Amino acid sequence: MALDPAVLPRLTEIVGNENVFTDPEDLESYAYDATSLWVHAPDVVVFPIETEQISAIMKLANETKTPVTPRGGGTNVSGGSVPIQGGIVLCTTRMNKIVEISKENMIAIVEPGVVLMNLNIALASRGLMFPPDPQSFVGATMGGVVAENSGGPAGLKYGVTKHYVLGLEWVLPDGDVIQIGATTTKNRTGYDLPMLFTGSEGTLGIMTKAILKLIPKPPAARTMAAVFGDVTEAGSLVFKVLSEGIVPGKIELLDNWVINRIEEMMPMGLPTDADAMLLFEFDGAAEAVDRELERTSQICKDNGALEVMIAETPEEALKYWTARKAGFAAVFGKAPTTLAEDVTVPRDRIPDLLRVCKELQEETGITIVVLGHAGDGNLHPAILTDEEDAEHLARAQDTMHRIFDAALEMGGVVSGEHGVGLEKRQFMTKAVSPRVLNIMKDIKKLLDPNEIMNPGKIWE
Amino acid sequence: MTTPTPELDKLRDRSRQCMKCGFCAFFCPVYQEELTESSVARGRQMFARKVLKGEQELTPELADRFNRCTLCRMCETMCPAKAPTTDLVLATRADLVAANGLPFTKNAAFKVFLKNRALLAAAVKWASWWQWMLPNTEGREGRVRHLPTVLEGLSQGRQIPNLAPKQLRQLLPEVIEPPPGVETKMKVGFFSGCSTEFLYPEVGEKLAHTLAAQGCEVHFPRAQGCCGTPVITSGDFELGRELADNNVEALADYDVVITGCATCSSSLKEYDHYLSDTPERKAAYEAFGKKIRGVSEFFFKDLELDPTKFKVKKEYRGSKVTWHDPCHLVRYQGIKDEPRNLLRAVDGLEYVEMPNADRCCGMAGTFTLYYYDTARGITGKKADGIAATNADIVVTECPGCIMQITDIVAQREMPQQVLHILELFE
Repeated sequence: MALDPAVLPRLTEIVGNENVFTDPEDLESYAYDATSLWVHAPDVVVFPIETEQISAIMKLANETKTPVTPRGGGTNVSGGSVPIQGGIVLCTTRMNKIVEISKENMIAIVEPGVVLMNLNIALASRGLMFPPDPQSFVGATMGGVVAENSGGPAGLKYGVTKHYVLGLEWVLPDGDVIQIGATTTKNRTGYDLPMLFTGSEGTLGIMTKAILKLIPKPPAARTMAAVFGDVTEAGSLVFKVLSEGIVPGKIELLDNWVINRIEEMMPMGLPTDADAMLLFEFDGAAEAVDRELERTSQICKDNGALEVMIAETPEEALKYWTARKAGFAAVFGKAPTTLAEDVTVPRDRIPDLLRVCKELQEETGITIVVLGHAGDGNLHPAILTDEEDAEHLARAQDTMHRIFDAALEMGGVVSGEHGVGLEKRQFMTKAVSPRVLNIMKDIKKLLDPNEIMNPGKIWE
Repeated sequence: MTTPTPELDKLRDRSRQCMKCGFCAFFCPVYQEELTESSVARGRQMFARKVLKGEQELTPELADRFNRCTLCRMCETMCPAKAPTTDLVLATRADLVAANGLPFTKNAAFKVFLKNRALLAAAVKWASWWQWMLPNTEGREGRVRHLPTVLEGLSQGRQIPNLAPKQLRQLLPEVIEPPPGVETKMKVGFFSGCSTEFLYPEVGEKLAHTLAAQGCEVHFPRAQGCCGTPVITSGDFELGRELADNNVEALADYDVVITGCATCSSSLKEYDHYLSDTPERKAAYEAFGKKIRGVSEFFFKDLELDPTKFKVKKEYRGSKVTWHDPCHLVRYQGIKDEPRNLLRAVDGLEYVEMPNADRCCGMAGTFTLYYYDTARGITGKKADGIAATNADIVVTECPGCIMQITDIVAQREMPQQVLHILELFE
């Protein structure tokens, strides 16, 4: 769709010449996110620096029916910030102020362009923490963290972003600015709109400020690894630990393939013949951490762990977590294209999902790597393929669909944390009932009758 | 599209390593100022891919996006997928130059001056005669000195250089013998580099005499020229080869070649990586690279000198010092602990680590001229880190960094002195 000629000059009026980009080279830079396959350039990129400007941009877009796709760091893995219908990319990276940190109220107020890592650096110096930890935290901006309802390994113990959003300043698709929620942790004033907008993937408006709940930074943390001869054994250990009343800060799973790639990249003496490894972090008061670690170590040994390794120093712990991070790189580095998914199943079905992945790998001959946040049932099966090899890509996608089907059958969901965006639109009819999907569409229509707000996302 | 891209073609296999995670943004000094996707590694990776696929022309606008990079290699160091961004950026610049040529100012300076050290020396000398006409930096005479690429910078109205009254080659003989009583242990070549030659000759003198005191017979062959960094990083690989060949020949007689400039040492070491185009050159550049040593590397890795034996000059005793990692030292050559160990171990100095010590200072050769505002932002963050230490002296091992940091310290009227590490010691 060609851009209405009236739009450009008015955008320039609103945000100034230096904040409007139209060079083809710039447009191409905003055609992608962190996914592999979705690419579409916008017609213009704007960098507002205050709420009033976003409001004016949305009024203009609504009037001219111009699509607007909000974007921050562009680290999302759903296709959510790809301007699939062209139009305006509204980039919030220049609205990057931490407005307030209150130790007394344990809240922070942030603008959308604040990078999650920078927020946590600022909070750490005051003994505070914002727990949700999408693994893109060094690049993810808070607008995206809220819009995608991000989570990560810490989800097991601390939940995800929606558990920390107390209030929002929000620009609606028609340009009106609303304040919802409050700075209080309890708030029962009608429908919980912040909860609705958190995770709305840029389709219901744009966050301009978020009031976030914080927690005190846990004073102690320790790390332990347990090695298993069978990946499904590792999977079942997760709920055994939890059912003993222990909630570790993180439980991450790495399969044999990942362990071997890590050893190739950074030899650290991991057992390369092990079928899987679980990585635990316990955090909290030092005495509790010690007790939980010892107890979990015993549970692992009683349940078939071949070896339990306890990190004795923070440096050693860091080595394990660096390895976990390297695992992610190892997967992507080994194939031209990686389909990294985030199906999530109830914890007691983790072993079943792992079994399905193993069987599918044997049947199709396609490499399926599993690493992920086993602690909350959020696994990341990654399928190695090559987007330039159409036949292989098609088979890889088919295999992935079969994993989704299996997860749904187990009472799981197709996306635990990445969001639907473009990547999983086609599964929405499978994942939710027609009535439920219609409620979602009605909400969308109510707030965005002209369908200009990140159009083309969530459903087809 | 028909424009050939010979340098990018060589990287085709490695051009798909980037997994688009976007982590580079956090570590990229340029992105942190501009906050736009085209000024970060991921953006450039995507451009390079498109060029290789024939979907992107080698436009001047593309050149601008690729020139907005300080080549600090931070992105690459932190990249989970180890995507070769520096190589892609340089290859793209090279193909852009091959297709479109260099901008006139660069072209003139490179073709005439950098190729011919004697001519550059004459030009610089001439410049130092008339610089008295130009406004002086109040009360800071001798502190603010800028590059000879100044020839270019001048035309853009940048701050005026204070060139050294005497160049290094007027101060140092061709051979510097160990002082009386010190046994000659080895013969080494000395590579000065342009900044040391024309702006900081006292650092070059100091290096030569320090080496001599360690039993080195130091040879300073006059035929050496520019290390090639400004040329190679601008994408002119052809001229880069001419400069490289000249230096290889000028220093052929020595098994070890030492320089006090981190940019020069990394550049000389990497001739093979970027410039080898024939088997002969490959062999010659590879062998040459192995001879090159930065000064900290030579003292503490090769000679294994005892840091506690160094004696701090009287005027610096009792000072609080902090170390700035030049990109070309810490990431290009992996030298990180050696200078810190020295500053910590030696008697008479108090060492304090600055926040983000390994972040780029924003100099990056002509980057600082072309992208002045962005460079100033980057340098400003460096200055914030320095201010947080309350140090008396910022120590480093690269004249380029010294220039940039001296400038910001002067502009902000900060109390710090900025010195080459050798200048601290007797």
